Amino acid sequence: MPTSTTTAEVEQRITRVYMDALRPLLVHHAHAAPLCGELDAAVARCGSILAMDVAVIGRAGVGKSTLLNALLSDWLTLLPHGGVGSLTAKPIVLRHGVEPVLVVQYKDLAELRELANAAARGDTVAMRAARVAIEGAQVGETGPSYAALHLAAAITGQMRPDLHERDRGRVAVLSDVCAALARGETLRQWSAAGELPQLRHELENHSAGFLSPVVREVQLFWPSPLLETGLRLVDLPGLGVVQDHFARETRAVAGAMAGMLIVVDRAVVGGETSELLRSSPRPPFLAVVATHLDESVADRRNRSPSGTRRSWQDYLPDVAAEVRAVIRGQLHQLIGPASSAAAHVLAVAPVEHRRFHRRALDEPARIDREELAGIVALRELLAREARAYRAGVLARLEAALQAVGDQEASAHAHALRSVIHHCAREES
Amino acid sequence: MTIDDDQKSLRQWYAEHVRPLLEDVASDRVPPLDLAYQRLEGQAVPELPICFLGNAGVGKSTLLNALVAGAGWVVPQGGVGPLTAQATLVRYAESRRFRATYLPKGRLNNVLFALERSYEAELRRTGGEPPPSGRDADEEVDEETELDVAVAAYTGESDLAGNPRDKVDGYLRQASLMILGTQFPEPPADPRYLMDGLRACMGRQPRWGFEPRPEDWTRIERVRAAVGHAADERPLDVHFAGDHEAFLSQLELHASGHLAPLIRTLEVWWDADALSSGITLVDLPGVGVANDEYQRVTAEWIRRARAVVLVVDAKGVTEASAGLLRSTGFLNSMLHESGNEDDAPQLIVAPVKLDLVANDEWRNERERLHDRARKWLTHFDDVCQRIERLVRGQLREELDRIADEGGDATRANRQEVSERVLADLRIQPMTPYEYRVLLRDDEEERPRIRQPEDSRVPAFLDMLTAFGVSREQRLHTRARAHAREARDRARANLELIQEQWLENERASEEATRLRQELEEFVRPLQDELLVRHGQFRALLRKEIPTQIELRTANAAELARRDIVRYLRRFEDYPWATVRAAIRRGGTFVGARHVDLPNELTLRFEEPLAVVWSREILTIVRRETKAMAEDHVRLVGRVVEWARKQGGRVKPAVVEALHDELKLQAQEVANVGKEKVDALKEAVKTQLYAAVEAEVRKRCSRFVKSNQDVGRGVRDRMLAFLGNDLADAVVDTAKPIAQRVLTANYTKVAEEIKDALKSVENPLQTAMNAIVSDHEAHIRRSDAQKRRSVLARVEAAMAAMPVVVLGEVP
Repeated sequence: MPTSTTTAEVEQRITRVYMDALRPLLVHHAHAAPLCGELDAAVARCGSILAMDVAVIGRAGVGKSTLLNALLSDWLTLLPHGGVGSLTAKPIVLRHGVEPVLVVQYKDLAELRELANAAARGDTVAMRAARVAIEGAQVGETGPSYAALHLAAAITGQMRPDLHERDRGRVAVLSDVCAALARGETLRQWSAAGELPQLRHELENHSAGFLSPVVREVQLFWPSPLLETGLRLVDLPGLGVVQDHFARETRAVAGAMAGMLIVVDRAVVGGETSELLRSSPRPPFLAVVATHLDESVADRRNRSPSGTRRSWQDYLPDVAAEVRAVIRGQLHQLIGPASSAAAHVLAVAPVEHRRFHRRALDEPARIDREELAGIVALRELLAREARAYRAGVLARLEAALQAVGDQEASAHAHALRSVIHHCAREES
Repeated sequence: MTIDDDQKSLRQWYAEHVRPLLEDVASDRVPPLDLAYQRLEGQAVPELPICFLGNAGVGKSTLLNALVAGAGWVVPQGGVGPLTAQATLVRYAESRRFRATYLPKGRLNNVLFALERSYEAELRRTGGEPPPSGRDADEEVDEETELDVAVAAYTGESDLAGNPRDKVDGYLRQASLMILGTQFPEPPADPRYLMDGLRACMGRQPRWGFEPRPEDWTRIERVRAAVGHAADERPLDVHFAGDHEAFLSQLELHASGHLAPLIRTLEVWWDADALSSGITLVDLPGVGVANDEYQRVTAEWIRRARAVVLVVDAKGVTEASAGLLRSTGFLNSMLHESGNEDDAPQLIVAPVKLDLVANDEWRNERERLHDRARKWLTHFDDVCQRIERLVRGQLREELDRIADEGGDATRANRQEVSERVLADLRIQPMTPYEYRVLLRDDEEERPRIRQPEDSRVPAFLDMLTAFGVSREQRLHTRARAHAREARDRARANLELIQEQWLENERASEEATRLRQELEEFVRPLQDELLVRHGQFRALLRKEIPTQIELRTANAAELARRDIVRYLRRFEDYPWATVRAAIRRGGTFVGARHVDLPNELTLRFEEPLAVVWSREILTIVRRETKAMAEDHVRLVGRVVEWARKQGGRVKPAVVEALHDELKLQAQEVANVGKEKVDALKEAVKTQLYAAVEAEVRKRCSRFVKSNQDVGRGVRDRMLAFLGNDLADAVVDTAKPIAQRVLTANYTKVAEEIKDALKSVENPLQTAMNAIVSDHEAHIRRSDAQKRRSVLARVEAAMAAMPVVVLGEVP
């Protein structure tokens, strides 16, 4: 996919070397078994041993997607955000690419048939999925079997005569997807060679829109220096909305990754989030990021008597510091002193960050220095972590190879050392 | 003129004109009328608290401020962390102030006791010896605290998924909030410092060798002052003196600040139009907060609430809010009281923060379409429409779920009312934030709306006001109906007296003959009446109590099945949560809300309510009405007879009695109406208390016998929940349910007796009216007295208040 020599390519190559050459050397040695287990799991999750995947998770509506948009671009909007109702229905993997590409992997036909059957049987979760696919929303005004029948028809490439006019467009697209699946094409991709809005539109349809019930995985390749470090941000569905049947699954997925970035608002660590923190396993990298502080800042400012009122940005650091202190205290109680000391706590203002860069006249920024919004600091933290993760994996591999002690292993260890040097040089 | 004035003048009229006259000439008519007039008292419209429920940080307080104070503040908002820790009531008054009523000093003592005991236990476990406590004589600790501490000390472990230590940790957070000003100090405070701090608050010597730091003294002094207020049983009143900031920060200290753990109630009075219709707004602690003690406060309010404003954001209803509405029984009572009562629980959904969504969508469209993009307000309207659909759908699923889960007996009924509830559901999306920005008119932040109406906040205000007003009207209609009824009964009596005294003297001569003829006519009717009376008495004394017993047993069986079904659900719960719930006596308020006492009581409450209001009360009312109608029918025969007598008898004499009996029949058809609410309350509180105690006892026995640790704990817990607990709870609750129902029925039976007492033998009364006995006749033949009685009747008729004739607009 990418053409120039990039970090991604290095990543791919080293992963290949690990799978083909290093793993067979190491896997039978007791000292290296845990490392192999870890790396195998990483390959299964990310297809790479050097990529650090970080789950981005929080209560629905807390501002995950807004934060991710700000992290990935100073002014472009990539991920669908805001909106009414729960948005991210499918995890979106954000990873580095030389140019923007959206890759969607669909479920297979058997799975879709089972979904339609379950919906016809009256299974609540399946019925809701069928409604999303056919009517574009979880709640509709049609009878219980309407969506199930039309989904089953779309799978076989038919359109029933009683299909409502407004649902025709969606069913046509669904039929196309199913026809492609019947031909064995389970992957589709869109590049931004066309236009970014088109890609964004497809992203929205597949991750949160009517196509989400037929999607297995969504990946977005994006040319951002942050992701070039090997970082993969996984935007997970928001927690806490009523009748959410996937909360447990979401928590399990998040717990298995290399890092977890928990997004909270001024209500700080809430019930859903605390359950997340208490559940195990908990990834080694943990960051709690508070966002949406605008209202607290505005309120503090408006309450001060008009004579002594300063500008908005003067109140931001105080509120941010207060939020961080409360979160620190909560973490301490929730996960104990050692884990909480290792956790990162930040407060950011993504909307202000983007206003600052966008410089639109009708929406002037309320900050005059970029760093006040905290996005830059968060990017730096993530980049540093991703590099350290990569360096850590390489160093442990090298050490494990050294410990094996035979000639072949030593040769590989030597080769790895040069890669480590190369990486270190690139970073400086 | 208000209904209160109407009732007052009516009571006055009765006391001054009607009652003295009746006492003189027809004293047997006094007791039943007294009863009717006593009922007119105490029917003032009860306060209607409208509870604002929603997740922490969703903007309940912002909405409340917008409603009450426009751009100003009445309650603190926008702070960091779980903000509102105490329910704050906002009411109307012309002068602005707030009042804090503190918990008794014992509260502080409980916290100290719990902390010291668990710390001592900890110390001994690690081989240390705590310093002497120097316990003061006035230390008394409630039972619950003792138990919590005992359980914590007993198990002495600390797993993180909700353990007995949670309770002690909760006390630590409260102490830390009171002394250090934050629940979450970083670094965490030394418990010994907090304990000595609490001692300082109560004016005791330090025990653990710590002196309060200077920066904590202000807080300790304030806690001391609060304890002083509590000891004198006087609340703290703070008046608004024009300085918002000063008023608000005082209020903040109590609502969410370090004094919050000491508060019993917090009330604010404000001169806002929004409140003038008599509504009270209650700002509740937000739900969905980790480790929060104040969730209990919220649950308690919702359990009793008659009106809830559910505040949601663009994502719609959260699990935390829905869980609370479910577990407190609010959704249930919405379902089974819908349409039955004038005062059924109301749910209003208020989606807020929609400006954020509109901002995004407007911005996105502008990026794409530039000048062709639609206006912000168009986007906002669009968002409002979508959120309304979303919320309706979410609540439909919630209600359907309840309809599916509940007892079989009530399912069909529930589905039907679920539709009606949804149809009546009010959803008002809005943006209080933009509303306040517009009103504030600040250079640095320009509003996106032009007029207040654009924010839809004024529409919501109208809705709340109309809600208060329409409820008031409904209650007034009921009160007016009572007033009219009382007035008509008094008038019927006056007319009766008038007819009797207008009779001319010749009647005396005919009296004996008339009586003979009449007695002959009435005798078979009398026999019929005696049989009917006998039947009715048997019904009241034997049949109904038997029915209560049978139907309660049946309801208990339904409840048992339902409870077993409910408890089976725990098979899917993480076992740590189940264990946490068992260890904490059946309640575990975490992200997953386990509330066994409540849930189990709920499953009892409903079949009982059905037994009472659909079954027992229906039978009682039907039979009582039939009895009263028999009276009407039998006296009707006498009226017919009287009409055929030509000039000998004035039918009006019995017609007045007949009319009064008709009124009475109408009245007894509603017998027990007042008792419905009373029963609900009794069932709720008594059952809940018993079930809670039982669950707690069983759980604690389970824990004490070490069954909650070791191998196979999950299976043991499920067996415990599935078999032991269900049976124990049903066996405990059944006799209580029966007792409550029986007690309630006894009251209703008395009410019936009172109502029918006035005409124990209506035929005899009718006969007496037509041919009153000789003595009475002689008395009446005294022309002077006759004139005086008739004049008094005239005067009473003239003085009859006309206000109640004005009826309801």
